[in-house]
Amino acid sequence: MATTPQFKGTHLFDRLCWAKENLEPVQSDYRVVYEDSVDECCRILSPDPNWMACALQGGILPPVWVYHELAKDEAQPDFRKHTRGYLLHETEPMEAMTEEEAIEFLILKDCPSDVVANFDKGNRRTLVICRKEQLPQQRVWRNAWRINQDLAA
Amino acid sequence: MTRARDIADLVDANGDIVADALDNVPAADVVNDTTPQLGGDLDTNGNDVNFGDNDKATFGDGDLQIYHDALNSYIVDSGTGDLIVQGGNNVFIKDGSGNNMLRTTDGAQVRLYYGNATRLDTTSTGITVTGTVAATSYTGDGSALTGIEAGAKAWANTNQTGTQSNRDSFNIDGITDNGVGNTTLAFTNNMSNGNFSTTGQEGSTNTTGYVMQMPYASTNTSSQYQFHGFTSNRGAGADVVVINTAVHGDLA
Repeated sequence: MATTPQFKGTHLFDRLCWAKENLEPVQSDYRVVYEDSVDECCRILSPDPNWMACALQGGILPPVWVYHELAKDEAQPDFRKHTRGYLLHETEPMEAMTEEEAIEFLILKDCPSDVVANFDKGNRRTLVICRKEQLPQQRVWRNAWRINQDLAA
Repeated sequence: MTRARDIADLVDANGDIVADALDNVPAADVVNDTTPQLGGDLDTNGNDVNFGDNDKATFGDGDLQIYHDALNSYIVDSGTGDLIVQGGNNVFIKDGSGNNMLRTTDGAQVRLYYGNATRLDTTSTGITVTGTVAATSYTGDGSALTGIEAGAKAWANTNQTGTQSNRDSFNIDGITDNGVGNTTLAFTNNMSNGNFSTTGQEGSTNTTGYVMQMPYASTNTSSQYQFHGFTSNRGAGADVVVINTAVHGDLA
């Protein structure tokens, strides 16, 4: 396995270029199913294989709080463009994660924060982690899919 | 003060050296001798050999000189052949604080440092630079260059059928299946804002003609973009076997 260079201070894009050239993609079987609207079907989040390789390798990805800081900036009414992109590049990269830790990272990064904060607080569980084979094998009625509460429990 | 014996005391009437004649012969006067020579290896017995400024240790009829001139120290090879520095294991060059500046690994890479941090490694296939490369010009065909301003900042080859997934991608961390023909891809390295340029192509291998649209419903942010597959123009949503997308713009 390739040894990650010392990437602190290196532009994240350049780190990803290195990863693309040196790491083999890792296809995860984990899927994250969540509901963020009562009027819409559930969404299914899958980790990208190249990203998963970075997460397992370590020393490449910034910590998730960096993304949250950028999201706060973007939520401001007068936001025009990011001025704190350096957080992505100059923050100490994450150490190697397990596949499960990587999925947790991805949930915190890409799932709506209100879903993450309240997924088990209502009368329906609105977020579950499952394996690919636990999803319906056919996409019939995909726009009506909801989380099976019996299985979620 | 001890003086050298008279030569007449060292030989007999026949001119032969008298037995034990050289015992207790006093040391040579190397200060006044302009051509002193060693009769064997010089053992310093734990003492130093001190060279003053501009005094040189020379080797090979002066081909190699090592000296200090009160300002700088020099290793000068000016004679026949090359100057070779050879180490049995690794060879280091360090600064005055002991920080690495250059390291060679026996039979492997050469590593250059800045402030004791690695900046360049030679590899079996070329070099790896850690950091920004600045140059006044580049040569080569450039066919494998990535990360240049005009290049795509993210791309993906996506399959919306089955469990939506990317066949391959760059700068994408996750795929969100929002429903039939509806996909969101999130960036690992955010864009500077949501006003980036997206291009895409439906490349389905099915006989049915599909179309795609992007951005979909203006949902692009600095952290994600979205696209949608349809059975036909203004038709129903449909999962498309191959959708290729690329993003151009400024990175955060």
